[in-house]
Amino acid sequence: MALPLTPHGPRPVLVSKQGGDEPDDGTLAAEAAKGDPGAHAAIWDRYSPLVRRVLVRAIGPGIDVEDQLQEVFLRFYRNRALLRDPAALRSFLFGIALRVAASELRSRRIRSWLRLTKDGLLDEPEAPRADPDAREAVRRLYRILDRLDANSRLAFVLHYVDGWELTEVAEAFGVSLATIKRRLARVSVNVFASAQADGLLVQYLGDEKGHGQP
Amino acid sequence: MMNRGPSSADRDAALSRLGRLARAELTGDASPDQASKARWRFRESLAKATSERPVPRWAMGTFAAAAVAVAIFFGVRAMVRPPLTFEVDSVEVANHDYFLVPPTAEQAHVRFSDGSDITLEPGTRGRIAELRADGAAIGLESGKASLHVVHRTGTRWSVNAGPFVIAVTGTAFDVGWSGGDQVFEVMLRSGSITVKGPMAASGIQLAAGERLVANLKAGQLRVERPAPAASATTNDPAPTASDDSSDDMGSRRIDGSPQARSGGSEVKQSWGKRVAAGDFDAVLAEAQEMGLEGALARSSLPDLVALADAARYRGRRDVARRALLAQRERFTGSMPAHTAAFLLGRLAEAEPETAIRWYDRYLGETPNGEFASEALGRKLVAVQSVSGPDSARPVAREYLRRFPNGAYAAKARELTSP
Repeated sequence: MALPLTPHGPRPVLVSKQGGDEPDDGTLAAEAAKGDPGAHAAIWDRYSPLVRRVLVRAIGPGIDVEDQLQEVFLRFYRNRALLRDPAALRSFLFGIALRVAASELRSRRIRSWLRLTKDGLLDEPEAPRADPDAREAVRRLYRILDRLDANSRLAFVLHYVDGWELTEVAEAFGVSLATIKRRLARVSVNVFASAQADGLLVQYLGDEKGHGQP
Repeated sequence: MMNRGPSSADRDAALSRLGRLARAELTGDASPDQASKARWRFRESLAKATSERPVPRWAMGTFAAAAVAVAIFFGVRAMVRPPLTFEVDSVEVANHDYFLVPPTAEQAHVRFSDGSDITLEPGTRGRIAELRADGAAIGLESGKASLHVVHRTGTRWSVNAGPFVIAVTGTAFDVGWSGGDQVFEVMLRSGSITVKGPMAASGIQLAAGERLVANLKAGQLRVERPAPAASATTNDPAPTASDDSSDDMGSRRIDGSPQARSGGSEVKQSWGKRVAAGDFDAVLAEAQEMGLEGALARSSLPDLVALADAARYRGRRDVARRALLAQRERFTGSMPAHTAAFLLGRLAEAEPETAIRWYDRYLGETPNGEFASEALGRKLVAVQSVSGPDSARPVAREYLRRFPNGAYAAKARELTSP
């Protein structure tokens, strides 16, 4: 299923620095629409950290998202004429990122049927954090998410991990609020039940680690 | 132990805590080295993607190294274009290569990586059957679609709609197919297409402004010409009351029914009527029987128009060319004579210099003629092929000034971008 290119997409977590001599999104997007490579390079500089973050959280820990990151911005270059509202550059890029993530998740599922890697995960590129339990808990959470279809997983990640409002998630998927509520309700029951059954994750469901109570 | 059956609010809060944990763990922050490598890689890819287009002078310094690297690393591969990709702008529409626009939805848009695009009307369904570097094959199962195919050297697109196939090289047209009614319709806005299918086995080439409607149940195929061309046919003898092959648009109806094919009229039909009835071969045969020279010298202007059409539709370029030249020589200053200059340019495109002269003549005679956009766009392509981009640039600028949204605007922008 393709994801929509919504004119008013999800709100990102970070606010990019603008002002001074830096052109605003609308100006950049207008130049990019003409195929100006300098504008595309500037858009990369401005948005690649945000897009990388969305991809990392969508695809999960231990996965190198470099290829997907490149794909997002190259797709933007190829489809720049689709951006009808230059001011919607950010949501346009996020829409592409979600589609790329969904495509990668489906590909990973197919690859996992053909060739399982150790624990289904690849080398961890990120620096280890101080709390190994937390790191392991996140890995286990994503193993649960691996069992979901791509769109259910993305909806869960956008809402619970990235912290998007339900209305924003619904808008990103181009469905009604009621639909996304139903989808997330179903998904959350499954994820919650799986997390409860995991000796480590259950500790993180409570108010503080170790309480084990939601 | 966990509580049994937590409320949805409790469950939501618990999962939000897990989510926050994941958010803290998965920052997505790249090391400076990672970020630098990724940035450089993107710029290399960008340089490759833009290598076929002029790069702004100010950007040359920035991308020169990347371009060199691309040339070294990609070598011959850089010459090989990847297959097209596409994006669909509505979540409800696409499932991989299959598209279905709900009847209650708004239009949907499919955008291809070469700049071509398709607008799908509500209720339309079909498939992106094939994606290649030089084009795509679209299968229209039902509904209506508007296509704008960007013309580039070697462009090859096709649209299958029911039993009909449309071959496209670079054009804009609307196509519709109703399996239930067995009605096929295509309206060519610019460029040229060839339609093959029932009642058009050898292919019918349409020119800009022409509309083809085929009703398989009724066994009819009709080609309608735009109004100016139609005005030429108004000199035809008035249709008889029983003659149902004419309409107020100067259309030509191709009727597969035996009655229609036999003429059904005691009065011998004009060539215009015969072309309207689909008897292209009969018109050509009759012209040959008369002696082509004589036919060209004595036929009325509408008959000459019809003869040229019949010859074009049947691929008899020699006859078409002579009929068009006869229009210009014998009926100088008439609208069909002006249009003939454009059509002569189309026929001469294998010799671009000749085509350019005809297009110039058409544009000079009718600067705002109905084919002006098409003539100027085709001239642009021809000039580039003959004299290169520098010579084509002024033509491109003129095209953009006059037709900023025309079918060749993308091509013109490519040429004029700094």
